[in-house]
Amino acid sequence: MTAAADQIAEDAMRGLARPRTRKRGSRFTSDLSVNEFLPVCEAGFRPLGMVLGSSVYHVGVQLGRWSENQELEVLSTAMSRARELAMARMRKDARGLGADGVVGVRLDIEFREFGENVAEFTAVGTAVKGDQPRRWRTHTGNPFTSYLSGQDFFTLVKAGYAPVGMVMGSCVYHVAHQRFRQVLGTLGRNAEIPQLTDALYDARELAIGRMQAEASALRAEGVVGVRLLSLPHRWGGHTTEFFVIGTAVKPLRADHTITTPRLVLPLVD
Amino acid sequence: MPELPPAVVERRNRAARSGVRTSLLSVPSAAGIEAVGLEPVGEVMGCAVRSAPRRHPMPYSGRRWEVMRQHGKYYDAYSRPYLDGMRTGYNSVLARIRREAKTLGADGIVGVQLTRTALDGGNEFVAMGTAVRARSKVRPTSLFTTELAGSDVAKLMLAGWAPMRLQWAAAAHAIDTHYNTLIIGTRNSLRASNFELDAHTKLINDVRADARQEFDRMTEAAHADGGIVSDLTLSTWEPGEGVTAAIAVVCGTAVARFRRTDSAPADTLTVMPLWRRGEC
Repeated sequence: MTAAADQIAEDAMRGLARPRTRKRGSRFTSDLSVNEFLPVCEAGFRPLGMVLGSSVYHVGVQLGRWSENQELEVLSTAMSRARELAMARMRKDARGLGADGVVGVRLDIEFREFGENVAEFTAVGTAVKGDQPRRWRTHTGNPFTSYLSGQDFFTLVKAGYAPVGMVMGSCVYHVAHQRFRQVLGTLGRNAEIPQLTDALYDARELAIGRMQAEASALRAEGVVGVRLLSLPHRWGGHTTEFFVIGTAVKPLRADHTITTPRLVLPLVD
Repeated sequence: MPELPPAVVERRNRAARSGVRTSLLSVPSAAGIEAVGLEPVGEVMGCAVRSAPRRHPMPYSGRRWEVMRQHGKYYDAYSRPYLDGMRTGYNSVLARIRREAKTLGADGIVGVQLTRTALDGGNEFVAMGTAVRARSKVRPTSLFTTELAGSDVAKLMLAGWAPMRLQWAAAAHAIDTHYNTLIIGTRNSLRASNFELDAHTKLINDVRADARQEFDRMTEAAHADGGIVSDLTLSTWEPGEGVTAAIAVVCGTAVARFRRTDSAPADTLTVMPLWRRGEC
C-alpha cells in the first residue's frame, strides 16, 4: 500500500513539476463535486464547461376565492414560463459548447429585493460530451438535460438507459378556507376533511399530469428520480406551488442488465 | 507585509523544536491523503483585516431622465470598489497562507477554507488549511492549493488528477433601476401580469458569465486541464438610490491530469451501503 501510495505522490508531483502546454479551448470547468465528477468521467463523458441561465421574473398577482379550491393559472403559468426561460438559456449555453448533454442540473428560485413579487429563477449544470457523436442527443438533435446527481447518472448509464431530458410540471393551487360551520362540524372529532383532501389530490394530479405530458413529448420510456415538492413561496398558508420534477429516460439497448450490487457497511456516520 | 508576522515565525520554530505535526484534517481526510502518499506538516493560516470597501462610492446626482434613457448600461463605478475590496482581501490571504506553507517545506495545502467576517468598520479575511508534503523525490514547481477536503484530493489523485490551484474569481456590475421600479410600482394593471425584468435578468446573467469567464481565464493561465467549481454564489445590494448591483463569485480548484493509463485504481464498484442517512 505504502509503495503504491508513494508512487501516486511521485507521479502527481512529477505532473505538477513539468512545464505544461495545452492548446487553447481544450480546458473544462465543471460544476460537479469530486464525488460526481469521477463517475461521470468513468461513464465515458467528458465535461466541457459549467453552463447556466437565469431569469428575473415578475410573478403576477392572483387571488383565489376565499372558500373555493382552484388552480391559480396566472401563477402556474408564471412559474413554468420563468423556469423554461432559465432552462432555455442554459441549453443555449450548452449548444454553444457543442455538448451532448447537461448533467447535474440544479434549479433554484430566490425572491430577491428587486421589487414585490420578483423572483430569480436559475438553472446551473455541467455540459458534457459523450464517447460517440450524436448517440446521446435527443431526437431533435439537442443536448439532453438530466436532473440526476453524477452518481445516479453513472448508475443509469451503466444499466443501459440514457436520459432524454428533464421534465417538470407545476400547479399553483389555492386551497379553500373552511367555513365556520364546517370547522364546527369536525371540531374535536377524528374525521377526514374531504374538501382539503380533494384539493391536495387535484393539485398533485395536475402537476404530475403536466410532467407526464412533457415526457411523452420527448418520446421517453419512463421518468426516474421524480421529486414532488410543495413550495409555499411567499403566498401565505393557502396558496402553494406543487412542483414535480424528474428525468425522462429511454433504453439504449433492448438487453440492458443491471449489475448486482455488492453489499457494504460503511464505517462512517 | 513582506515578512511573516512574528507570531507565525514563533509558531514555526516551536513546531520545529517539538516535532509535533498539527493538522486540521478530519479522520477520513487524514486517512485519504495517507493513501496517496501525502503527509501533513502543519496547519497554516493567512489572515488580513482590511477596511470595508465603500458600497456607496458617489451620491446619486440629478439628470434622472438622462440616466433612465440609458437604462441597461452598466454603472460599474458603484460596484467596482466593493469588488476590488473583496478581490484584494482574498488574494492577500491566499498569498500569505502560501508563504507560510512554503516556510514549512510543504508541497501543497489541502482543505483551504476561505472566510470573511464583518468587523467594526472592516472585514477580516481568513484562509486556513493543512500544509502537506509528498513522499516524492520530485517537488512541484509551485505549491498546490485546494479547498477540497483531503478525502476528495485522495479520490482525484487515485483517478489520475492532481489539484493545482485554488481559484477565486468574481465579477460585479450595477444598473440603474428607476425604470423598472416605475413600471412595477405605478401601473396597477402590470402588477397582476407576468413578465420578465429585462435589465435585472441581463445584469444577473452577465455577472455570472463574467465571473465564470474569469475563472476560465485563471484555469488557462495556470496551464491546467480543467477546473472543478465548488461554490457559485450571487448576492445583490443597492449601492445608491435607484441603483442595483450584483456580485457573482466562482470558487474552485484547477486540476491537472498526470496519468491517463487504465492502471489508476479508479474502478467504480457498484455497492449498496447497508446504512443510509436518516434510516436506522
